[in-house]
Amino acid sequence: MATSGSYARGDKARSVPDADADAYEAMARKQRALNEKQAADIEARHKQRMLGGRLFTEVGQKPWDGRVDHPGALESMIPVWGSGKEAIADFQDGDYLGAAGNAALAVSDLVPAKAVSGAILKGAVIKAAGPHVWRTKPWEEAKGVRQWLTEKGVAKPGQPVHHWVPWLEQKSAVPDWIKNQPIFLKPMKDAVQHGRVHGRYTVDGVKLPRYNPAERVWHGSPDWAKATPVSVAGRVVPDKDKKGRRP
Amino acid sequence: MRRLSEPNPEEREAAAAARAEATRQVLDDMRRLAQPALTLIEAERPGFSKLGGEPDLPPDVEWPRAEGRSLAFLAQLDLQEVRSAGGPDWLPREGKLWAFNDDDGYGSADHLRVLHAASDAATVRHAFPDDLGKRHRFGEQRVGFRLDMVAPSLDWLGVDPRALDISRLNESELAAAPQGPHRGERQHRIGGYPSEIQDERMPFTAEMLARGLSLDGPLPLDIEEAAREWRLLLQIDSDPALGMNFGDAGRLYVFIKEKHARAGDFSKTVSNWQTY
Repeated sequence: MATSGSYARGDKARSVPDADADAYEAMARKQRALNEKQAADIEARHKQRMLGGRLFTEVGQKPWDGRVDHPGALESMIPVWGSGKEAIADFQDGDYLGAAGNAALAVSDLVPAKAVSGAILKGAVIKAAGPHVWRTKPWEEAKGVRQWLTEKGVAKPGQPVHHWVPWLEQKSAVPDWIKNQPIFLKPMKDAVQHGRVHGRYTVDGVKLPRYNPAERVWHGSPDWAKATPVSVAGRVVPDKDKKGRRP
Repeated sequence: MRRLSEPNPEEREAAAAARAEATRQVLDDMRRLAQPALTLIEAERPGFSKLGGEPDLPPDVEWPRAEGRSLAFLAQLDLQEVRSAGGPDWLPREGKLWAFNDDDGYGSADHLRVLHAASDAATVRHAFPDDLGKRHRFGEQRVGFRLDMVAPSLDWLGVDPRALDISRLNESELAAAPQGPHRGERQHRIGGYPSEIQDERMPFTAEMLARGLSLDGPLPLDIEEAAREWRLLLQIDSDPALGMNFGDAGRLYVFIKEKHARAGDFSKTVSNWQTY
């Protein structure tokens, strides 16, 4: 059977003009351009992964189709917004567990925001003016930190206040103006809760155990301190989980 | 425009007058209730009284224990030395006291145990028991006493400082008093009033604990009257030099009713603990 084309020619150059040459060349150029674009996209995604994920999602590439995209790495760091957007995107993807986790994260963002904003409103985040000693004599006009907390409404009269930064001089040389700052203090529910952060505590004849390390952190840390690592970790871990899931 | 919730000038004047009156009453109470107190300081002439180390107990007295564990020895005091230094007149003129602490028992009335013996009771050094951990073996310091006059704190009196006119307090003779419950030094003390770390009305706590009542429960109707009987027998501060640390630089307090102290009955003490 007669054959045609390069097989028949044994890859030798044509000896006659090819009527399809232009069409082949056009198709080859188009394919090379497509290949280069795909390679560039792959390279770009690789670089973004190395930087910790996509940055902000690109806006305006296509008309909005009613779907919410996953936030980029920086966008996901925005309290409430980042986790909230991630939760919606996860829900749309059918990742209901991820959606629930991110929704919880968005709510957790509100905790420090509320705590800090409340303290800011009371002007009680930092005690700039001294004295920074814990208590002063009642007749001294410049109040010690404990009295000042009551005046500012951060702690009620009679409410125990826990020092997040260890106080004891033999363990720590932290000066008063640091360890007695309101941001390092945690008003406690009652003496029992405060006592159990430090050790065993007896209530109505029943000896309660000391809080475990996680409980000590939870009960003994200011709200902003315990919410911040949760929020940060919550944003880092899902980004790793998403690797390869979406372009 | 003035908001409806803002007080008018007459109301402000009335509030200021009320604060001035409350302040006058508080100052009167502080002056009237001021008590002699002994601050435990390093001894110039070492005697029986000391903080930490190993106790000198009567030979037939065993080292106190709780739940099978040996308690930490805090202090021993010779009441003759205490009274001759000007200590509280409600303490007997003679006798010896020893204080041991169970730091697993905070919140209970007897986590700090007081032993009592006559002055002429023979004593021998009791070595640390084997089961007593290193952090419960405190360094020894022989102590002497410095006499102070100590006024009760606003916590003890149950006064909210926001109800007072501080400028009037500042003008009082108490403001110039060198002694008080708020000094920055190590505050090992006999008598007077406690140096609180946290806000707490300690005589109420003592009375509730003594009656076995829940601190969360309702206050008995006679609590104000009953609380007046309590006296600070001993206050032991955390002391890094001796390796003492109660919680996080906390303090231990022992209270006794005046009538029991006068009778030499130290079996009905009530202890308390506060920390940072």
